Amino acid sequence: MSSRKKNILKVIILGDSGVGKTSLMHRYVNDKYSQQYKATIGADFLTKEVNIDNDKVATMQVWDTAGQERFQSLGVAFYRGADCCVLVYDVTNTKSFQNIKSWRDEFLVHANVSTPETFPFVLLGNKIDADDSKKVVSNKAAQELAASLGNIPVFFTSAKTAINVDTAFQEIARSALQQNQNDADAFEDDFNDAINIQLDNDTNSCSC
Amino acid sequence: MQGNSGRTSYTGGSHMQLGKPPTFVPQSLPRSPSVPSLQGDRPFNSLNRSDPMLNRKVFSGETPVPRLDPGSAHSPMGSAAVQASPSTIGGNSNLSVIDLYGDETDSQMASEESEDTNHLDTLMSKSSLMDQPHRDDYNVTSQETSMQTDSQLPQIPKSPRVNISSKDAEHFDRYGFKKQTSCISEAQYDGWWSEYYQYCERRKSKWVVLMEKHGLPSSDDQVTRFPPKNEKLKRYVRKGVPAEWRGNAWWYFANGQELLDENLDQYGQLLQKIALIEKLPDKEDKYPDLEIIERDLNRTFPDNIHFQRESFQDGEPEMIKSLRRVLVAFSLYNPKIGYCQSMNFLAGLLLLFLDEEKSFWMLVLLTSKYLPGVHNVNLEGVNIDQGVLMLCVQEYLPELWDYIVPKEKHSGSSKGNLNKLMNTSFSSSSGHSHQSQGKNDFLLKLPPVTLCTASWFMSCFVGVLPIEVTLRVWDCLFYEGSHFLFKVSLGILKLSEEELLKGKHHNSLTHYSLNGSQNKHKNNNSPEESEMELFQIVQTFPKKLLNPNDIFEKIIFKKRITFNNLDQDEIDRCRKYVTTQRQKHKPMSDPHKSSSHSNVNDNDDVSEDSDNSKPHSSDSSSHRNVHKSKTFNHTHRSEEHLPGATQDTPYGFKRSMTSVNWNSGLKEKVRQIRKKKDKFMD
Repeated sequence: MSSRKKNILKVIILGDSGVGKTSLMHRYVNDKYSQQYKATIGADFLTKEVNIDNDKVATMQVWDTAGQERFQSLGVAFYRGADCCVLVYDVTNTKSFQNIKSWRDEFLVHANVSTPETFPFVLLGNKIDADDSKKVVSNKAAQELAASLGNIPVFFTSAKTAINVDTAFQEIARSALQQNQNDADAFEDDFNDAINIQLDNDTNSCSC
Repeated sequence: MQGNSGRTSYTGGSHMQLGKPPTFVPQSLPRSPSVPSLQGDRPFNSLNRSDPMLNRKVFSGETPVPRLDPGSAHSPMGSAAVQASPSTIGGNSNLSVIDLYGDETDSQMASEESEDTNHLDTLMSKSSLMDQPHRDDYNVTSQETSMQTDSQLPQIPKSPRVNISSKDAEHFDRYGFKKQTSCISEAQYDGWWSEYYQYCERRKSKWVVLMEKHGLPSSDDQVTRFPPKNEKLKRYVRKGVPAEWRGNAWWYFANGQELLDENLDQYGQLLQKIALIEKLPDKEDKYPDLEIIERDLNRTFPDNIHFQRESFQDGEPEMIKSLRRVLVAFSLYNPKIGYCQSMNFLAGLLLLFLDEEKSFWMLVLLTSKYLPGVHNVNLEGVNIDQGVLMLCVQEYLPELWDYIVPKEKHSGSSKGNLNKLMNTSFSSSSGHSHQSQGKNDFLLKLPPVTLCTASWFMSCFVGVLPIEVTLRVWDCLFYEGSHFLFKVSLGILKLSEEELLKGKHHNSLTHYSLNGSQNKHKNNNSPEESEMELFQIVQTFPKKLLNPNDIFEKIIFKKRITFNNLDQDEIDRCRKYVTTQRQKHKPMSDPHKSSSHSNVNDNDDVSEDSDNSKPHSSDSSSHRNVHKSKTFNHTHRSEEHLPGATQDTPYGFKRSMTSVNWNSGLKEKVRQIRKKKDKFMD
């Protein structure tokens, strides 16, 4: 509240069907978990007031999306204006991990972000509560992927047992706020020109 | 065991046996006559006819009979009732519930609706008489079919598949859904249901009279045909088909039998094919849909006892198996669609009311005749329908439209802190500003709210509206056609609009009068916030709409509400228009058609889609074809059919006379005046 205006942070959760996007959202927003979530059609969103670094308050809009690939064609409109994109895979499902990159590319294509290189993504490997025998994606592989995607942060979470969910979303909120302010600053500096982004954060430039 | 306890329970008990105070329990379960032994229409006639392979397949599994034997199969509605049957629970409570229910109904209704009393008496006595025979009907049916099944099979559907304890029973509705949802508490449900079930009873008694008038059988187990379509029947359908008849009514109105008759062995063949595929080592690679289907099976109705794994001690619920078969069979049957999430909800609900094979064919009809192209790989049908819906909103709910497409959206970034840009918004009091722009941008880049409304169409409101409302919608959908989905959507949006404007009223008046030039208090109403609020309301509002009559009686039956004039013809024409508009701009609007995966042989045209599914369905969907040809003849505005002939000519709704813009502007003014008047009246 201290800052000029109430911030709305728009966060989009993407990932294959069944990786736990809905569960993560509910765990974070309501601190609840249920076995009974239905498959998400289209998209749902929930909001949560967040306090970032004990300093700034913002409303986080968490958008949960349908995971089946064909639904991407519906998502176009609401990717716009996103402040952070959360990429989720299931540590027990290799394919969901392999698809992360295409989810990211898809997002960038449609979100129309001004500076794709610095746009904040966060990678989540969900379901780490699963039996070790079932885990097929190593943390190392995930970290390598995260590095290759521009050193994006990666967290290993369990929506079921709440492991790391809050931590991850703290980070998500932080990078979303950063992104939001970059855009806002740019906007205020130059009403019609969104190119002039001030970079003053950790996610410095390019992806390699 | 089952048979036995079944009967005892019929004679049985009082609600005293219930584990918990039975306040509302009675309503939670159908009265016994609702156990649908719908064998009247020989649901499995074709299965019976078909090869043994099929039967083997169908009847494989730990619990041999349940869902698929003709009686029970039928309907889980039934089986909700069936499960209310004794065997489940060692007998007493559920059935006693049924008795109690009957009693209550009897007395309450008789006192309440004197006009109906006579009739009711007959009805009631009939129904109590029916209880017993009813069971026998089951037996007969099972026997009829037992030739292909194990003759040892119990006569009454075994239902250990559902293992709810008696005290849990009261938490579920008559279809086996948990009463409590994310937006509705059990107490709310019970409170409402104690009234609504009386409504249902009243309606049913009227239906019975109607059926008798037409010389049609009206006992639950024999209702397979309905009177010829006319206004009266339409009204009856709109007020709700009796739950016990629903499966058959849908089947009848959608003309399912015709389709089935033309494809008698097809479902059986598909099941054979599935059996072969199951054996392939690399099946998941060859049939990627399998994996997605698998993942959705337990995410379809996790809140319904028939679908719950936990409720079953041994293995998978029959329902889940049926659902898998139907979805996989469909994906093989129509590779153009394959499996699309949301079809699980359609098939799931169908399976609660119809047997497996019929459910399959109804799914075919839904995805071709009612929702053409909607589930295709590129979901273009969804986009088209959402475009149509947006046109309708623009036309019929202009205030909401201003929320959905605030003007600043057109003029640039939607990014935060856009106070300055707000001053161009909310100018609609001066007429149809958006329409007069002649821009149809929103048809190409659909507004975000369509992400929410898209799911309404894809799943035909399953999981969106509470179950009893959904079922009422389905009644009308199959009777009236797909335009009803638009009406319901507009109804929901209208109610949402009221909700949305409730708190806003002062604000919006200010905007209108000042033409939006003052924004002193705008900080708490930024475009982002408006959008968020809109989405939130549109997303949650329908889930709270517990009482079907809140939307049916208050909105859809009201002639005065203009969108109720929409008919199938108009919607088809509108679909055509949107299709054309989108195709015209396709290259621009969709330059980066997604990289990632397969599925190319796809065509966006609605009519083609329905044509493509034609080999299977066309003849039966004569309905649709009629509409289609009408659409073509109805060259109200011939340009529509000629891509490129016009530049973004706005769509003209039928009632507008010659000059579309002039007329809609006028209409808009009238609407505003009327609205003001209404406000003052209030």
